[in-house]
Amino acid sequence: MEKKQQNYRLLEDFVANVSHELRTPLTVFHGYLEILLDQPKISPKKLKEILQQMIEQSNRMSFLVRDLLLLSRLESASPDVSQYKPVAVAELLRAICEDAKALSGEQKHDIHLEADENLFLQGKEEELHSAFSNLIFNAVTYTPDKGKIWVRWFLDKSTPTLVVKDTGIGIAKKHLPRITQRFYRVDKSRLHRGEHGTGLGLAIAKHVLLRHRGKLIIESQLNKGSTFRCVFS
Amino acid sequence: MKKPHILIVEDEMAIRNLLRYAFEIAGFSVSEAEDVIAAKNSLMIQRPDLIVLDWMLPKVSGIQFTKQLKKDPLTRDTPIIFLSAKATEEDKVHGLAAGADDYVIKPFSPRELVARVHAILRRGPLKETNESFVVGNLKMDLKSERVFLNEEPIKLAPIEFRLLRFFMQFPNRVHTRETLLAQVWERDVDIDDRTVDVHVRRLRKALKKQDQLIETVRGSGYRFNKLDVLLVAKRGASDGDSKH
Repeated sequence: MEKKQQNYRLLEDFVANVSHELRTPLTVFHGYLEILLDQPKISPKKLKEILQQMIEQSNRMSFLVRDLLLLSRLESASPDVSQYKPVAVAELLRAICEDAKALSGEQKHDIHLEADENLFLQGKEEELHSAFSNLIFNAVTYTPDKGKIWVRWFLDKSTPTLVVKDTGIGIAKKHLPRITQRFYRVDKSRLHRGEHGTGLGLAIAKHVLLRHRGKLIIESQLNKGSTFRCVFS
Repeated sequence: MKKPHILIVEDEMAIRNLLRYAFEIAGFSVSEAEDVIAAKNSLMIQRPDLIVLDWMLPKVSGIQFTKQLKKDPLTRDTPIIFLSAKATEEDKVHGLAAGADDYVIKPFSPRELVARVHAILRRGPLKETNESFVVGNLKMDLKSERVFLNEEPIKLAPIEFRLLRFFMQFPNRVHTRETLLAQVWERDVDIDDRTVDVHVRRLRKALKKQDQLIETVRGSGYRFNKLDVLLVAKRGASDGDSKH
């Protein structure tokens, strides 16, 4: 009975979080539609600005839906190990680091990649891609301009290991135990969240690792930086 | 006529942009702040006619900030509209109890928000425009922005008028030169502290024999000594001349 109540509570929180996440993009979307209806005369320049913002918000809603679906699939279906193939992690990381540089853009983060080309991992490439890209994009999002980000894929005492280390804002100790929870936020604001941030990234990473017999170890110091370590046994 | 000024305190840039646009086309001027610290800075530069405040802000919440604003004599009378994603009746009561004048739930309609702002601003011109300050034989009529000494009008430059208004509004306490610069000059300008001294001197001169009302507090700033400040509400009654 208690378990049932707890599950119910979790579901309730989850629904509250999802609707909260949808409120902002919906507000913006609806608001501009209303303005467009009321304003017969609008300059092409302003119109373009408005449409741009509406696209951003609709993207935000799409990302949320995408991540929700992915997470629910990761949580419910057990992995089909027979479908697993050797994944060229070095190549995967190269592509992700390129995207990370594009994401960093004017912020000019210094992103270093060091990956063992011969070290493959048995698994599902799309899942690993979303786990690793979430970790690396997070590093970009939470590291001030021109900060350093190291990505290293190597055999650590015969254990395949990915380390993503940054010189970012870090995470206070009290938040670490809950940081991989869905929608958990260190502060209530969304100031530090990238355009793509759905609040589900670390939860996705954690579940993907679990499906690859891996685990996520997080070390962090406030204002110094964080280290996300994926250890595959 | 001067455009009414709105301060928007909201951490989501997309919503700030939307609100700025919605208020500007409705004929308002707008300042934005992404958190309470930025909002406080903005308040030092320009006093808004109304504040639109998000509930969920980083570090200091909208509720806490509302309580601070309602305690501060300078912002106490500035109406606040709460924006919140919290939709229960309980949340609403909590927000209104903290001192908000109205409560709007996200997603909201900008048209409706603007209408509510108009309604609140129409509720009456701000209190102080209907009142006057009286200290002894010195009287300031806030509506006509005129000052009388022994029932004779005296001439003051706008900045001296504002300085005197601030003194009369907050008497019997020491105001530093920085405070006066921030509150009376109302903008973030690079003025020397001495500017304050210059205007205080002019103000004293205008006050003639009443110049002792403004006391220099060595090492701190100035204090306006109220012997007897009466806040006379003009509403309804024609109070005529104040007789002492």
